[in-house]
Amino acid sequence: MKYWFLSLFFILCFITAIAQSPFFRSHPFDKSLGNIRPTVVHQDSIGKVWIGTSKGLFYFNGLTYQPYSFDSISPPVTAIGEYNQKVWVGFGNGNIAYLNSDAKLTLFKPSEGLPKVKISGILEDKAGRLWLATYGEGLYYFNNDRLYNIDTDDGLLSNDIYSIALDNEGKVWVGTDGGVNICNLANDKKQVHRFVLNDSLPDIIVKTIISDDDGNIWLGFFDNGVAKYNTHTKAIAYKSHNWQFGEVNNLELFKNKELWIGTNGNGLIQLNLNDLTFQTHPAYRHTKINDLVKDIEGNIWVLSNKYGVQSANKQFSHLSSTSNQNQAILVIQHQLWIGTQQGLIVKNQLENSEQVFLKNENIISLHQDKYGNIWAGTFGNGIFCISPTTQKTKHISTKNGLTNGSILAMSGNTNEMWLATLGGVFKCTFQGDILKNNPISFDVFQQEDGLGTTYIYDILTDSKDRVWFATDGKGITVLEQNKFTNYPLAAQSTLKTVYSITEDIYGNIWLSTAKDGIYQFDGQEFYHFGYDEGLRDLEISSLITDTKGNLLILHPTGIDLLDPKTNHIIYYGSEVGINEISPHLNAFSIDKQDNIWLATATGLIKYTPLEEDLEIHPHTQLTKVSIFLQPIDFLKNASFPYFKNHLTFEYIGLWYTNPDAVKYRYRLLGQDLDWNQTKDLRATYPSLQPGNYTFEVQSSENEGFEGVPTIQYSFVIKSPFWTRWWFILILITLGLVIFYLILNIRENRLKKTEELKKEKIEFQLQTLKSQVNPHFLFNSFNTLLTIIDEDQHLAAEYTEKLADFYRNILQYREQELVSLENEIELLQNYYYLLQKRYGSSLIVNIAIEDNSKFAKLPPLTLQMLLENAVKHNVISKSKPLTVSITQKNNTLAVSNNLQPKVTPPTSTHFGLKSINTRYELLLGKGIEIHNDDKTFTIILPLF
Amino acid sequence: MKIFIGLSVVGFLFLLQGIFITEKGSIYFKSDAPLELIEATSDGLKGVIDSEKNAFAFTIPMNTFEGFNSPLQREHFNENYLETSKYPTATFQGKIIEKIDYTTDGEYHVRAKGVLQIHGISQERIIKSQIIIKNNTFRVKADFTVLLEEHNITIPKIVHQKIAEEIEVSVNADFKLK
Repeated sequence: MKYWFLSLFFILCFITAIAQSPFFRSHPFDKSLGNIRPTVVHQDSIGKVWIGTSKGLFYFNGLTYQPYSFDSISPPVTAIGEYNQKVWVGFGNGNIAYLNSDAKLTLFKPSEGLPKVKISGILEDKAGRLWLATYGEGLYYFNNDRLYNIDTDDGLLSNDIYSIALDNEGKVWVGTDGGVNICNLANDKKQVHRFVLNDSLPDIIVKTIISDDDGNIWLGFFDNGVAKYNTHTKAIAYKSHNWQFGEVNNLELFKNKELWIGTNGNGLIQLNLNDLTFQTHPAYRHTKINDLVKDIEGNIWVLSNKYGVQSANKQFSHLSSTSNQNQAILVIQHQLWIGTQQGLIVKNQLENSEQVFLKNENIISLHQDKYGNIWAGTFGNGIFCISPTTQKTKHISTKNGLTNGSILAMSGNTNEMWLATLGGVFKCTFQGDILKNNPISFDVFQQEDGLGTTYIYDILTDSKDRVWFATDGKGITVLEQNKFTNYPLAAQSTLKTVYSITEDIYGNIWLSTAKDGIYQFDGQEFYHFGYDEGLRDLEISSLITDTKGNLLILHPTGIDLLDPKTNHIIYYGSEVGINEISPHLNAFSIDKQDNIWLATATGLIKYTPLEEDLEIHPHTQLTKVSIFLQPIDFLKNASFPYFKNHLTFEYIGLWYTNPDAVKYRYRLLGQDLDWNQTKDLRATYPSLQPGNYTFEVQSSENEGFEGVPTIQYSFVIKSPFWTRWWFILILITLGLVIFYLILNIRENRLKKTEELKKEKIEFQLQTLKSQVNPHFLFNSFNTLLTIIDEDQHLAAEYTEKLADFYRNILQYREQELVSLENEIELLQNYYYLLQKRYGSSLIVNIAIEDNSKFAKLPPLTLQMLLENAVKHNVISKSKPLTVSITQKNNTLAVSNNLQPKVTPPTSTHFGLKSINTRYELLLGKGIEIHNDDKTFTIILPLF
Repeated sequence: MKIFIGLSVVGFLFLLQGIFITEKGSIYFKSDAPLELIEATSDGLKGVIDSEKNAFAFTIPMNTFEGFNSPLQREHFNENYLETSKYPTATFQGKIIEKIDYTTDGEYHVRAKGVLQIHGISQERIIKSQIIIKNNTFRVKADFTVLLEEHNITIPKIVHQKIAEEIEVSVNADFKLK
């Protein structure tokens, strides 16, 4: 109702305000694209801005456009939306496509087929269904993998749909030539409601629809402008009157502040939602607006054929002024009171008029008192009090008790006001409207009263009714319960001259100094903010708190916006049109709509604290991961073999307000010890060792990375298989087995050698024992004794043979093997010695082949066998013993006829056993023994 | 008898809600450029309105325009700009958005939405029109503009100051029941 009344009021005096325009920046396409017309713009849920054009879809990162198309020649893009967390695109020919996770445009192919006409809208409802508006075939929705149509047969007012929007109940609002339809599905059944002219719709051609968070639907018409429908009260809550700007093409809403209207040839119109006045943008005069969208940083994007893609930060608008020496400002509704060196200028924004009061007065401060009168403080000439309605003026000077005429600041909106002068602080008391001749009196406070200095730059009456004074060199002075206290208490503090004071929404006092940045004072301590804390400039002229709680810090370089909760600072400068503003000390004014007006040397800046939750950090995202410069699908892959170890990461911090300002820092956990800071959009790691890594990247628009979200990508470079645990385990096991085997063989061999050696020693010992057998020697000597008497020659020969025999034994017993020839020779010596005793009763036959020279056998084998035969058998003339030694190929057979003694000699059976053992050790097999009661044969293998 | 009268009244009304054709139709256009004002008129406009379907169609032979500031200008118009031999007619056909009662005398403001084809290029347009109904006949009046750029009509740089980018068009047509 309130709006109705107001709008009725404005029917009578329809006036368009003079323009305060935000600073539009152009984002031109590459010249090589030729004549390209931007058609639609959409910011997706991850912050990317998509631009649809007459030549297809583009992703814009703030700096460059990246084309997305599935054909070399793309039909014009006519709609962009989101469904199922993907960006969907509608084309002029009815095609619909979506972007896959691998960033490829994929044609939507429902089994029912695609529309044949222009797609005019894409949205996802709350139940997760896709809705498509067409211009010619009505509405479509995609439910359970089926595409359903809603057209005039279902009650749609026209099949030509201009625009669709989702209300906060989840219903789809459809703007057509015949009015508005409200469509939804109830239990999967189509429900189509009509909303036409007789329902008080200002026009039935509804060209655009948007919805807001408060349950309002905003409609733009072919004729008659715009209207607001409240879904709670189910009534039109506002409609424009005397609309002069023709067809409305697009709408965008800044919550409780402004409705932006794009027209079909009459440019950009702004509807102020507080006073319902319209404002035009001179830059867009006679321009057809193709699309209008706000982003999450508070920028408005405007698409037109004439200017292409442009964006502007809505928070700052500019008003050029005729004066270049703006020293003070006061905004009262549509009146801008501007203090200059040449007087007081009053601009009426509605009437687009300008008036000058107090000509040639040097106005340096402005204030409005309780009664609505305007107080203009001059430099040296006191105060002029003016009624904004009657223009009645009163000069307040020394004669009224104001002993210092230079008024730097004024504060207070009761019958008591505080004035900061170059001669101390004046408390000004009046009983009523001073322009109605009510008395006024002044009390002065100076250093002796407890004030820091008599030069005061700023005064602030805070929320606890304390009055703060900014002194010239002595910090701040606070008046609390009639007592002045100076801060900081410590005299040696660096905090000296204070220019500006403000109070944040948490009750902290903030002050700016002449050249030392700003201080926060919580009542106890001062906290300094300088370059290290993120300030861009320390020469601060004003410090202002906005309704959102942010601190505006004004300095010649631009405006820093500080959030006192997080201490995060956003810089605004030339990218929002703020260039070398040289602001005058505390030349600002806060209007009834919470806008902060700043008077600068070059003009006026209006700062609007937007009610939207604005993004304060760039939206960082990893855009590409490449291995050896080949892009990979990094969302799916995070494990690479050891030879794929050259990785390149590409990322971007989307900050559309000022893309050039974005800086990055990145590190690879597992490789880098510290962050790398850069302006590059990529980081390369050329030869990574196997291991676990996490790539981290942050982006910042203000060079500070405190509290900035981190984007991570974890991946593994796997070790080569030969360094994997299982391979090493196998390798170790194998090694151990081989080692064990070698050890075993060696040990066996050693054992064998040892045994052989032992055997040999034993054998040698036995041989020796047997050779020095006293019987043999005794017998030999007896024989010798007999011979000596008979034949001295023979005796000598016998002795010689005996000696030979023993020498041979000594010689051979050390050896492992002796040749058969030597063995036979030894045997013959032995036989000779035995023969002298047994005569012809002992016969030894030797049959050896010619190759006997090369055949070998263990030494003394044959001698021992002969000795055995002699030892165990009866030897007599009647029973001669015949021993035969016969070579058969590689064997040697030693046999004798068996005639055992009646009383067998005591035997250790050493001889045969020893021979057998020696053969086994040397040859691996033993000797063969054949005993058939007649002959005893031993078969010896030859070597 | 009563029934007969009733039926004939219904029949009469049905006839009225029928197809209307132009009795007389004229188009006037004006190019208001900084250096020259060009005007031309044609009476060759033919149109049909189907009041039942709310549909309409208009056509005009482009070479029927008379006026201009010189015969040479007319020649340029036909040969260079509009290429009338190649694109002999301009048409506008579509539907009337508002539904009006053609049987009741009065002045109606309607919007005609359709495809405007000039110089071979089609553009969808919504054109505001006035329909004045009187005694089973009616007059259609409409004023609109045509952007040369939208219809690929290119003007040489040299005469840019003499020809407006936006051409103002006025239509006047009297309709009667077919």
